[in-house]
Amino acid sequence: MRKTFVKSKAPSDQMNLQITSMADIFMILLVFMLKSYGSGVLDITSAKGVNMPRAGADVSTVDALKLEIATDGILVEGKPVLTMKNFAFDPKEITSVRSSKTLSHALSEERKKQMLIAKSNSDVKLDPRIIIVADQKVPFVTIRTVLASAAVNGYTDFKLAVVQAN
Amino acid sequence: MSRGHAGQSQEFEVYLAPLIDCFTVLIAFVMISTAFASVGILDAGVAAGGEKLQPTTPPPVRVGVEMQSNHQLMIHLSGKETRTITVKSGSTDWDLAELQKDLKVVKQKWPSTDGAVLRADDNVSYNDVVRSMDTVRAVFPAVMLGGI
Repeated sequence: MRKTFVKSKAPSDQMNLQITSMADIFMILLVFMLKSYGSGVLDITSAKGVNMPRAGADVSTVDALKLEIATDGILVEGKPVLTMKNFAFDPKEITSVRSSKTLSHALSEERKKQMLIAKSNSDVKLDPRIIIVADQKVPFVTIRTVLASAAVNGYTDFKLAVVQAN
Repeated sequence: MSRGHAGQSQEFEVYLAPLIDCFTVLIAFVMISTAFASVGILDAGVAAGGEKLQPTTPPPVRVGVEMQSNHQLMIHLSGKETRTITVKSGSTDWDLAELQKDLKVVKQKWPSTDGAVLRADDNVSYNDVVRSMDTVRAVFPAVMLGGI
């Protein structure tokens, strides 16, 4: 049997890590994540303890007035405008058209701001859209009062914020 | 005139290690700030109110879905066909599958009708209203909240 006397090369102590392929993977991951992060995400953050209902809805970027119904009150554009007990309005608050006096006032103030902007800038039109962020447990009577208060102030295009089921 | 530095090597190395560091930090940041529960929007125009009356062509049949506090669902038809359908429920909870079945029958009969009005009793929860809206939307795409 023939033997070869050529010594095999001793392994080098210096190890070269191939990071070019790793950089490629990271680049692809980053592009993919940034794309999914930046497109179609609604900028809606609910108050503490508000569990939105789950439904199969479309994700569309909507920029409109935000109204939030929490356990202890109602917030318009993040500002508390009304206090409630267990999602219920004070009966003294309710008007003959089943709207809330305080909420109506707050919404009319928001509408006035929009009207002022629309008056000074002809490109801006009055926006009838309003995003409702409400807890799952809110009784329909409260929702109805909120919607009535918004409708009397010209907000008739309701967008209900939900957690996407799919 | 000289033609460059003849003795300089043409090989150069890109330092990828700091680049990898940046990518790792960026990916971690994006992953942390990603919202895993994405928020969607349900359109719910109101079947009353508003500043101006919108001119619309009325459908041959108007469909109304009523949610009663005893978990009973009713379908009210008005227009060319006027009747009330009581959705048969096999359980104590809202029978949304049965509601969808009945709405599909209505849709087959009146295909030009695209909208429905959803009404609910005072103590019905918002979650149940949204669930029903979702069910009705599968048959009639334009669902409005009524009784305002």
